[in-house]
Amino acid sequence: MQLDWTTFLLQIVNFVVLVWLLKRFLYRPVMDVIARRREGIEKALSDAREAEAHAESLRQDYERKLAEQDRAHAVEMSRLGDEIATERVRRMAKLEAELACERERHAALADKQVTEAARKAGDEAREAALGFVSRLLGRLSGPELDRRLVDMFVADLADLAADQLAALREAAGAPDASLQLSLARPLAAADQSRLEAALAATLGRELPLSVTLDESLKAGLRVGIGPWLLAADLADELAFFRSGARRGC
Amino acid sequence: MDTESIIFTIGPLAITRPVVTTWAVMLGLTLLCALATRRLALDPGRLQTVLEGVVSAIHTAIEEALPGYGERLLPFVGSLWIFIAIANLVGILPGAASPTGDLSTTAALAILVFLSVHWFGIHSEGLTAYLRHYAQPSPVMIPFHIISEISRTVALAVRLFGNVMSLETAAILVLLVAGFLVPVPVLALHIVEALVQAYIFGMLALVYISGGIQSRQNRSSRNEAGASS
Repeated sequence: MQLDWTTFLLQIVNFVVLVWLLKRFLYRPVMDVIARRREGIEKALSDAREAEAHAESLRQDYERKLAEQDRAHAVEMSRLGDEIATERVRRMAKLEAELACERERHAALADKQVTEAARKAGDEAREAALGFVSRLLGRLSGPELDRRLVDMFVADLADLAADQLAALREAAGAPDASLQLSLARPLAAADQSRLEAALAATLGRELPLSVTLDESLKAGLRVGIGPWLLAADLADELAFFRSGARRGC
Repeated sequence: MDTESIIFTIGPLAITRPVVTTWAVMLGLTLLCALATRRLALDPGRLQTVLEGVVSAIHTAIEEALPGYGERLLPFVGSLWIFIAIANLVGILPGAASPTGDLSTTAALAILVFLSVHWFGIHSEGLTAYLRHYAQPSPVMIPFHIISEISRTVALAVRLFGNVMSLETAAILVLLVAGFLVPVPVLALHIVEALVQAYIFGMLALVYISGGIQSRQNRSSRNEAGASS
């Protein structure tokens, strides 16, 4: 245990030099790299905070826009609902009007169909009645009926209106005038004579007479004078009855 | 002077074994640090991780004792820890002797600690203010403060010297008395003791330096407390 002053002084110098060397080659480089790493970490943290703040800002902005969109959506939905309600009311009114028209049209159609059916039923009934009457009269036709029809013809000639009578006489006055007598069956001689006499009296002169048989008359007679035709037969009466019944309905 | 420990002379200067060993330690440390810190990267390798761990641990210890003085005290206190630890461990190598087993070396380190306490104290608060704290709380305390400064410096030197020398002596004695492998536990104890002594020396130096600096801080705190009251 001895203190050597030379060693003491040299060790002081040695340690001071060692401090400088370690500061130069160890502490400064290592602390620098640690500082750089810390700076990088701080920068990364700062960037991360900025990114977080930016993300938060974006999130808030997005939520704000989302809320605005929700409000706009709600307003739009409300408006749309109102429009739908209005449109529904309008269409319902239109539909009801159309339904009313349709009901009226259907009612009119039904009335028309009922009327048509009634008319058709009437026609059928008349046709049936006519057929029945035609068959009945056809069975009843005969000389007796012809004679009574001649009587009726003669009576009608006597009751002709003045203008009709004048028109007949004018037709009979033609130079080539003649009488075309159509009969359902041949008349008795007395009946034919009575008929010719009544015609001559009515027309004011005797005309040549041509007689033809026409079974379609069923019964009675038909007399043609120029353009005029005088009938007292069953077929014409029935046709007249048919046409009159149609006009009547 | 022990003439057996003189390796060579440079003029009037006798270069002893502890000095040569110290130069070797300095050379090795410098080369290692220069090579290791030549290409430091932000993504560290194993060696860089070790170096950063050592430096960060020393820096953290200083910051815990003296917050805000880590950068300023790191070179001196860190060098004390690293040099003393390696110098203590050199004694384990066959044929080598720890420089810290020499009283001249430990005294030199203790004197440097003594001077650094006053250097950092004066640098921190100025010469007059620093010297004034020796008269606190009363001028009567001045001789006691001086005796305390001297005694703790001597204790610092003798403690390190005594521990390292006794460890080496004990290892030699055990090696002489016992067999070849018996001193292994003693060598393991040597390693632990070498690191502990380095830690104690550096920690005491840090405490002394912080005591010199904190005397001013305590006074500032008292002034702030008085002003606020």
